[in-house]
Amino acid sequence: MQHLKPRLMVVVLLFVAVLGISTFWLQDQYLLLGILLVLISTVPFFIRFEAGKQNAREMVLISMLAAIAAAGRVLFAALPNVKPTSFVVIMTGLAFGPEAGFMVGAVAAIVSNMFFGQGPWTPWQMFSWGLMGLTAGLLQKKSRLEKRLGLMAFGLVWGFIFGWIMDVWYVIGFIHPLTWETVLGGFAASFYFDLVHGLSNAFFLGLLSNSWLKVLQRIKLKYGLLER
Amino acid sequence: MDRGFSSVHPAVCFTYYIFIILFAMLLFHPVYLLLSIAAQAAFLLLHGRGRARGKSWVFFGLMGLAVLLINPLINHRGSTILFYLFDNPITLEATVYGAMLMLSLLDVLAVFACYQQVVDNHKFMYLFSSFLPKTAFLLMMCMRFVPLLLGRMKQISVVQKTRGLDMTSGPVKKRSRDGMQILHILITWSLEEALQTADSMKARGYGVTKRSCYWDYKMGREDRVLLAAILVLAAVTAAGSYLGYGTLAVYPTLGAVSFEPASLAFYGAFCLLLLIPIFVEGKEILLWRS
Amino acid sequence: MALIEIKDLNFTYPEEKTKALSHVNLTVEEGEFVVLCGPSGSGKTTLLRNLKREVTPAGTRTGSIFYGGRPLYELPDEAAAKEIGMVFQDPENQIVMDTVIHELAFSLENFGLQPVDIKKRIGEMATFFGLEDCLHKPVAELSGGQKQVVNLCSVMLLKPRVLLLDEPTSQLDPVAAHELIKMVYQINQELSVTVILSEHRLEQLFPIADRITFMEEGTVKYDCTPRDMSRGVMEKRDLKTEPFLPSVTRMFFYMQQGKGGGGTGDIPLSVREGKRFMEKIKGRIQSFIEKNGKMERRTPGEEGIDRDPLLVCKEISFRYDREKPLILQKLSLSVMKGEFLVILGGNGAGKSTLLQVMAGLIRPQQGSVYFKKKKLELIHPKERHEIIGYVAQNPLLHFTFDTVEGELQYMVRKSGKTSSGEKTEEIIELFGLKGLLSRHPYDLSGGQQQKLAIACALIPQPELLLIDEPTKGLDAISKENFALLLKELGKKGTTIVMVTHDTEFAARHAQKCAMLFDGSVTGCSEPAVFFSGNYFYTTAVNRVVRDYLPYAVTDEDVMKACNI
Repeated sequence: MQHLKPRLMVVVLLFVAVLGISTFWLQDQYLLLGILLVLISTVPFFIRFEAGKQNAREMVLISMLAAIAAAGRVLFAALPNVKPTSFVVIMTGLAFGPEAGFMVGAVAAIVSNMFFGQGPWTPWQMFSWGLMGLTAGLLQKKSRLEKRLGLMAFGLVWGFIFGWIMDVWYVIGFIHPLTWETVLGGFAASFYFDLVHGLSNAFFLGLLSNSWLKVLQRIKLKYGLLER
Repeated sequence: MDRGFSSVHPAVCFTYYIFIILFAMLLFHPVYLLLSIAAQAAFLLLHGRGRARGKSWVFFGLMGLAVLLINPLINHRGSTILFYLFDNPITLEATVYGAMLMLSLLDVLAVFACYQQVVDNHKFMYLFSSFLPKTAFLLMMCMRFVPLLLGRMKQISVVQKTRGLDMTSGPVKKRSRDGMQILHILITWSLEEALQTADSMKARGYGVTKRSCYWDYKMGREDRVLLAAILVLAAVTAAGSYLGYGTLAVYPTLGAVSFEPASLAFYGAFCLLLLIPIFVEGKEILLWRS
Repeated sequence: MALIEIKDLNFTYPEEKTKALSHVNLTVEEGEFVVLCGPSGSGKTTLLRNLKREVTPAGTRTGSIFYGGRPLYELPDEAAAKEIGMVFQDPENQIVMDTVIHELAFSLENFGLQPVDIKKRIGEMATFFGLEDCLHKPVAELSGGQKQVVNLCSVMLLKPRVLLLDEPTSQLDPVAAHELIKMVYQINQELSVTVILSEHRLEQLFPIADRITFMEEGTVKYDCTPRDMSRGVMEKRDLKTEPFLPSVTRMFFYMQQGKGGGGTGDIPLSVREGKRFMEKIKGRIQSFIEKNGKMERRTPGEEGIDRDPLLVCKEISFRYDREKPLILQKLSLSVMKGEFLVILGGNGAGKSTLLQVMAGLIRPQQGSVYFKKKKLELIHPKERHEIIGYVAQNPLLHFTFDTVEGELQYMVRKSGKTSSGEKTEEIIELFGLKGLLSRHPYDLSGGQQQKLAIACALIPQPELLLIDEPTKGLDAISKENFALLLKELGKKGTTIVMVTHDTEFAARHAQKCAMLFDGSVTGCSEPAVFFSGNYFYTTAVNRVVRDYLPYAVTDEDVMKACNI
């Protein structure tokens, strides 16, 4: 993580700058502010990805996984609250580490929206799915996800976090005034959907994570991509 | 095929829609919002794709309705009380505020719909390829893979019916398990095959040296004129917004929509800005009518 | 000076005991057209990949490869990638971009060319390959053949001196394969690009190749002109290599030898040369026919066919979408109990669709399929999938487990029949899967995967087996083995329907052939009758001898007719 620090500083500075400008000029423009902040927070990962070597296998692997995550969303279009994308993203994070997890999550959001329609939600989805892959990868490194129960809890919790982040753009953009009650109200309104998402995550992770990890480990070996 | 406004240089279109989206969020004023929505709707109709995503518009409508209703229910600021609902005052100001929020939401969504008609995925990638080349390339690869994977998914679903996997029937739990099984076969198969893709990339020199980027978009004279017009009109509108013409005062008392000469001038500038795509489209329609 | 010189090359894959390449010596001159031939697993791909640095597999290598007089591995990266181009087997997997023009630009972008130059080069090259009309099409809309042309074009844009092609036509239908080979030949002739092409379908390559390099078990067995090779193989009675020769060549050699003629004269390599040859020995054949009377047509295993229809399609029509054209149009077809029916048809004729309809996987919009006089959709899906076994063109679509054993056991568990256990042992034995049980299905060879998929379909003991294009990509020997296997199954009473492009295979082994054209089946009859009626859609042998022996469709028929 050493080399991430300068970039982190840049991001923090940008954050401060945007917040500063907004208090003076863009009063009450929470939605715009939120989109800017969310986009900025993904920047270091993309920069880091850009700076990496041109490795054909790595490129193919990441794009294929992102495409599968996106195609899964199309496959499950009839069951909108079951999100296979989340499962694929978490599995990627677990098998290939936090950076791959983030890239696959963020790219899957953009690519799947090329089929479902882009909108103000795209940056938020990039952010949440990216973060989902990132945290899965980070937790795997700390080997807290050894136990299946832990993994299922992780999936369940992320079902809610994802839903809340997705609520944010709607709530901060279009529900005024922004009070604790309204925010909680927004979260409560989406509770059922988030629960289904979380439960399906937990269900898939509990049932399928082992067989999927086997597949991904095998691929890792075949591609000669070992933990950096 | 690109026609009308979509045949304009992508950078120009992109700049245009950035401004329009910004204004949809920044200008909290019924005249501006209504003008913008009308213009986007007209463009969608003109472009002949108004019906696309019909289902999503129902959903968007519900979202807008929710915004319209929630605001007066939770917000009791304002001086003109319309009536009481369960001992809570419903004020005119909060209702208008909610209506404007709804317009703003619908406007943002409509602008995105237009944006997608004009700046397709390739153009978007072109714009990003200059400062995020590797990411743009990654996205291009994904765009190639998704249709391929959807095709494979269809094949797998048919063949796996022989093993009793069927996503089209049964309870949700069974359907999602079957779906995941299909995804499992898809991932095993596709990642295996993708090794050959990587080989074909390497065989054609991927990674040998710094890549260039081939795109076939040229900035012509007409594009530059349009860009200048967009920048000028957007600057005027932004100035109007800075001077306070872009926001309607709602609280504590609802302000009147102003029609003085200065406001009218700013409305006009914004209107011209909104008409640019329609103008370009219309010009083309006239050209081909005779 | 030779362009490529391979000296005593040995190569071993990691964790393998046997060498994949052993003592390979080979020289290729500038502008030569070399065909690398041999059974699958003989080291063709390994050799080609050793010549293309970027995709050389991991493993231990001894010996040396020189390119233009310099060791290949001392070449600068850019030159190596540019000057040696390589096209791979699968057309689909080589494409990385979503439209044709971006795919073509991809190779040039890799070398940092400016957009102006890229456009110019694509402009001229796309014209050469006839791709102008589909430059802006998404690749998903192209046919397999077109995709392979795009791949070839994309490699040629870099102006390579050497073009390596690894079984480029094995996934294509015969017409597209023909087109691609013609294009490669044109590149070789007009641009003087050195070509090394690996392939096991030699019928078309024999007349145009400068040299055939035949490999077996990692060594070079023959390395000479096609004519010399044919002579060598026939004179030595090299039975292992013989199936790889074109059937016309084989037939004439035997005819010569039958008359004690030995290897005199030019050996015919193509239909044209065969016809000329026929002209020469006309007298002999005619006297023969007079002596023995007209040749009777072959009636293959007629006694095995029961006259009860097992599956009947009655006027079925099918389309994938309301907007799309009809794929099957009032198609009627009866499959008799115990027969081996082969359905032939061009690309996109709807062969796979028909098979899926017969398997009950998709339902026709009109008409019905009857299995033993019962409507297919009235049979419970579970039972239906057990009595009708279906094997898709790509066997990988069937596999869900990570070992061969897992696949087989799953089928046993699912069928729930007690007899399945012993039956499985028998099937494993018959298909030669014993040594592979612990392997991952994806690590098997194409032929082995095919066998595994069929073995799985056989475990529930189906009465009818439907196989989609199983000989695609198989070499001559594997094909023969596969045919023996099908015969074995036929003897045990399994009715088999197979769809294929492979006319030679159908002519040799089918009991009945049918042609799917324009949505319906025409000419359902035994091979001799079926093929003798066709002009183009028939075997090479039949085209040569039809004037004299109209019912002879394989070299064996001719041999028999001439009493050799």
